[in-house]
Amino acid sequence: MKRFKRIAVFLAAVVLVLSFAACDGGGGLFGRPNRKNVFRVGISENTEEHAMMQSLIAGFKKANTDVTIDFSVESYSGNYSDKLVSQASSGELPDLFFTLDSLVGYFASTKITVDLGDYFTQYGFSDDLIYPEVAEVGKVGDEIHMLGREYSQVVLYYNKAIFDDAGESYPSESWTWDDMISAAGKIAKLDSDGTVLRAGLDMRLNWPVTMLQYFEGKGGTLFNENGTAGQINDKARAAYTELRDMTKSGAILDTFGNTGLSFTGSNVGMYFGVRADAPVINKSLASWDVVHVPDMETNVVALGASGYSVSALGQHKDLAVRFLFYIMSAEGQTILARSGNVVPALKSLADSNEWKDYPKAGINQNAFLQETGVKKVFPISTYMSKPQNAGMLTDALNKQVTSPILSSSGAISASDWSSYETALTNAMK
Amino acid sequence: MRDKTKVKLKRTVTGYVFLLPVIIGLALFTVLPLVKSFYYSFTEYNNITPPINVGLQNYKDMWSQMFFTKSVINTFVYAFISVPLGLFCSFFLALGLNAKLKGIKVFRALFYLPVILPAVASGILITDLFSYTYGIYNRIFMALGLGRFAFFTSEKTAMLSLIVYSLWGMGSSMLIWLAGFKSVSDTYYEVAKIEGGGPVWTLLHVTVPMTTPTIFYNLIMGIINSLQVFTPVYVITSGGPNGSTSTLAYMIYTFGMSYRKMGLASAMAWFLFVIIMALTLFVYKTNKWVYYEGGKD
Repeated sequence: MKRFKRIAVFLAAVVLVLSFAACDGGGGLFGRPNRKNVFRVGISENTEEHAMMQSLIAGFKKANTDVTIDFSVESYSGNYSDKLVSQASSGELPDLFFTLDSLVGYFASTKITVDLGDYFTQYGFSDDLIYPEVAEVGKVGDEIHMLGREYSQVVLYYNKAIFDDAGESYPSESWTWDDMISAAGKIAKLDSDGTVLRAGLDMRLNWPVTMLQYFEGKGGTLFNENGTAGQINDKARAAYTELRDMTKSGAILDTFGNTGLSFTGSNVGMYFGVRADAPVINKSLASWDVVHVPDMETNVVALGASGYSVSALGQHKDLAVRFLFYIMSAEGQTILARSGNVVPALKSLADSNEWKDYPKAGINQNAFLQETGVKKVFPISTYMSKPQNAGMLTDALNKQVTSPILSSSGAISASDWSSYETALTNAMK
Repeated sequence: MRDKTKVKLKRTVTGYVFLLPVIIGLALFTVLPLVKSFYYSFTEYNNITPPINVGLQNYKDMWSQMFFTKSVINTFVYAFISVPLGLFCSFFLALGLNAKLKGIKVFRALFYLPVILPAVASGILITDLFSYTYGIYNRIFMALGLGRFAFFTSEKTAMLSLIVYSLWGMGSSMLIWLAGFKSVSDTYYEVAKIEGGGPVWTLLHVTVPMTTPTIFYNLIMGIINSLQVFTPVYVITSGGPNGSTSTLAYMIYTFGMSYRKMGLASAMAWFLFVIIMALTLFVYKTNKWVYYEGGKD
């Protein structure tokens, strides 16, 4: 019995030690994991992203034979922004990671990403090499916290089969906004009870960048110039009401309506998307093409960008910066371009067939290129005095303003407009 | 005497050594986060930079946040309807499945199946089934000439749909009911039969009183789980339309993870904790109706 007890106590002690060891990553009992021999790269969970990153790593290692460290690519599924924030708060951000424009402000304000502007001279890089809009989205004040890897403007994708079925001619570069809305209305199909079975255009009403593009084009404003308070002017109010009516007629898809309709499901004729959508669209639709977003009262185009940031807390900061500037080199950009996901950020590759042949040749690739003489609309965070509140403002715009307006009927009262403005103001505080 | 004390001490130490892994686990992964979240609830904290003390400001500010009041009301509505509904439905389901029929085990397994399905997967499945335009239920309604039902797409029906969806997981309560029914001695039923009691009388005067501990357990767990409802809200409705399905747990997640306002999220979490604690204590204090065959202890 005594012996049994001794064995039992010993086993309990072993379990205890193992419990501690399990909480540990290998750097001492409570120490941080030792990552000296591993260079960590964070990307979003996506087959194409993974393939792109592996090609970039292979290219970088081939061009830099002195780099012998192991690269570990960590991909996060689900909500990528939330995953990055969790990593950041636990001090576990990868050395280099894929970033979304909406997070740049937050990372800059918390000082966990490196100001990349400090390295421009060392790596012979300058803003002039890339599209100015791409440089803009990575900036917070005078600092650069993300290098945009691509030129990513909103374009109008269309499904040729739906246009053929509706007997409508395809969108063209000479289309105006009204031409597009008129065609969208003709494409739409409604059930006997008024339910939209096929929509004309998915404007992605829950994506602030396309909403800002719409309101800017209509001469409307959603908030004041300082980015501190909601300010829905008369033109924006009229544009909202117009938008509501267009969703009811099926010309515009009600993104908030859980309708089950989608462009890639072949029950929406047109779609506001970016270059990164092209591979998925190409896989889903047999016949599609793309044009620039048609002109409104003011000619505008919305831009978003994703890119890469370097963790200020990482153990391989210098290597991360070096790898990042490789990604931004002609060689790195060409590797990115071949994926079909990306229009290279480097202006020198604008005419290169390295990206123009992807995801398929023969489409109107010029639609993805920078337009001159057109006003550019940037991600919502760039208009805010506190860019770290971009997520909150996006939710307020979607859930407290756009969604209620779309589900309303009749005239919207002054007090309702005032409450919408208050909702935006609260989110910007 | 001294030997006795020594043996007792040895036994106590041995006991604690065995308990230590659990105690340490609880301290590290439950007590410490609990204490930290209490501290954060008095601070402005963005998950990264050091927290700034703001006193009770978060407890005041949370009431003016987007959909917070609505979420409090929604949480109560959800709990007060889904808990009795779940208890009622799972009770009668278990009663039916308690019948001594051939192949009944297959039905028990089928009704338990949704519980072992990942909540996110079933949420996505439900979204498709209840889709306004192409969902199978609306197709059936249309074929029957009943018109479409909005389910999760209308402010008026979304919460109701969410409550009905909560029955998807009643298999776990059903299992506990079944165990409760099995623990009731056959003698009581035989006596009831000899006395001439019909099925309803037997149900009300034998089965229900004898399974009050099961009712009590299911009630407590139901209250706690329903006040913390998160996954279906996150997967199916994202709190919409217009905040009509937003709940406290969803608000805590949104403010903590999406908006990186951990101080506010912690204050909301403590507010929810107080509500759950108060309701649970209330149910405990009023448990005189629970009958324990062998006495309470």
